[in-house]
Amino acid sequence: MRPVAVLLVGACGATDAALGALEVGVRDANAFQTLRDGDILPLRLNTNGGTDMVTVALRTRGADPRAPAVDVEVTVEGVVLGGEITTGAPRDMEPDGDGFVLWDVNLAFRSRTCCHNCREAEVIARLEDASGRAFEGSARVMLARGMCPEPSVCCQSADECPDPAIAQVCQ
Amino acid sequence: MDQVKRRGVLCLVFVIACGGANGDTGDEDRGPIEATLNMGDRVNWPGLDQASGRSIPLIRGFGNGVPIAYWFLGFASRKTADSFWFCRQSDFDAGRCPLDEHRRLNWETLQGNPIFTQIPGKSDFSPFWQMWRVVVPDNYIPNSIKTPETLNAKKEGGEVSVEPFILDFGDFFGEPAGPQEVVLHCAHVLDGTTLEENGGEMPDGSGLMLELLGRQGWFQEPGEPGAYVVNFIDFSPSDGAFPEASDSESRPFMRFANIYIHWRFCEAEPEPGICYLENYAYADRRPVSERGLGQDITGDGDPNDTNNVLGAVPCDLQRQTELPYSPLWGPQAVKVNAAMDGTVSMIDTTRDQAVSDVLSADDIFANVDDGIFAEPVEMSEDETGNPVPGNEGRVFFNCPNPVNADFVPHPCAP
Repeated sequence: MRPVAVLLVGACGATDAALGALEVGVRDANAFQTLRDGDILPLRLNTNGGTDMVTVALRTRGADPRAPAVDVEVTVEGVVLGGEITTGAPRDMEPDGDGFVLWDVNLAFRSRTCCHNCREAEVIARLEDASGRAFEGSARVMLARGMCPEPSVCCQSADECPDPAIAQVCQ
Repeated sequence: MDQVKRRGVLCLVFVIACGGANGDTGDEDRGPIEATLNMGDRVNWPGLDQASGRSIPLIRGFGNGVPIAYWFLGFASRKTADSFWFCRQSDFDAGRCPLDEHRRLNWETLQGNPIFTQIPGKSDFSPFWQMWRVVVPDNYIPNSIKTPETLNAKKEGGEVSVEPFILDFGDFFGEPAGPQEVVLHCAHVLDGTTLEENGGEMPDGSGLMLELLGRQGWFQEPGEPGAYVVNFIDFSPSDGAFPEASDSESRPFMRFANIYIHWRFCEAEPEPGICYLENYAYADRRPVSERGLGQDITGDGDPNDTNNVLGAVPCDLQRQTELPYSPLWGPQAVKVNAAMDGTVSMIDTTRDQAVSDVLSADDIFANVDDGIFAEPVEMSEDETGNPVPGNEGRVFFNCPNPVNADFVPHPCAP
């Protein structure tokens, strides 16, 4: 249902070869820091309720920065556990001297912490700019609330996770 | 209220949904919306995925001096979206449609399923719906109208009438509300989503909770014919219906209430036990919340205990300076003064969700008066330090409370 997903599949001439590069990173001292394979992506825990989150930033070169459509997924062992939350109108990208950056893309998890904490994950991001040009990129990261391993963050039962195979069950 | 503007909004909806009516045979039923969603889209729908399906967690806290709980449905905002509810003229005139005398959706008189104009993932989605009443003739076939475009055609043809639903709220917890446009809480969920412990024991041991039911509505994807089936949880038996907020603008805003989130500071002597977690989002503080910490600190086998305190609960506004109950919560940070940290016991030190020194808004402000807590501060950012987009920098959560099985939202029991 996301416009970007539909357009990536159905737009005339939008082939993989036409995809522009999209860097997945984080904000570091107000500068864009690209996430490299194996980097730790801090898992933030919502103060009030049931949603764990991570926050990323997305950078492109040559994009129209006005209100892009984005589609981000976080997978653990191929299981989609999280993605960007849609709570407001699309925002513009901002120049950082090396491209345009969409800051503070909040990704929420639909799984308990024990399913994704201290797990290697892939962040897969797609972006379509106002001109219809599509960009795609990904990063393999370690999701971590604190230090890993952290055996105290564990599931009482494997069935607490969407795929029991990824559950970290209490010993 | 600005009826002219409101009608303009409705017309806009109809214009965008271009196309003609589908005749008397009714709009096409395109089946469940779930069939159109990819895995990533599901993130925007509430609940946590488990092997047995999606479940909306029940989080525990306190309010009005007793343990309470709330279902956590995620981020939400004050904006509302449009929903259309079908009634026969006689039922509408008699005041038994679309709501009953207890301000609950009246499924005995409603004619078919409602039409919703948004679903989760759309930028204008909200689980808080402005109610439009659609008065249909007695020979109306329920669910023959499933789309805004057909509704518009029938309205233009004089077959139905469509108006904002106005209800006289009279005195609303001390506020002279009077006749107002109505906002309803219907949470769209994926098919099969359950509310954790729905119908189970109330957290204060006062009996069984009211079991809330799932219902179905229609949603038309703009530019496509027919409508998809969307599932939703009808919270009107526990939440009732709400008058639009007094600061509403061109369309109604949802009312919100206060939830107080407690924080301990790690500079305290001795250091609070919950500070041992390293690399936490904030280096100098920790929330007194298992969900905030991602860990079972009470040792009861679940990570859902908190010392969060609600300013009011359904039908019970005990502290007059608080806002009356709303399922939409605006968090307020309550900071324990480090020098006084050892003087207050909460669930992180009692290790028991049933026991805490801080059970109510009155307790919080008594601690403020005693210098143990700082004055509560509105939380304008999430745990990452980032404002959540769509709320002008404020954070709001959709967290409805369970109620006792015999509860009615109106009139409130004395």
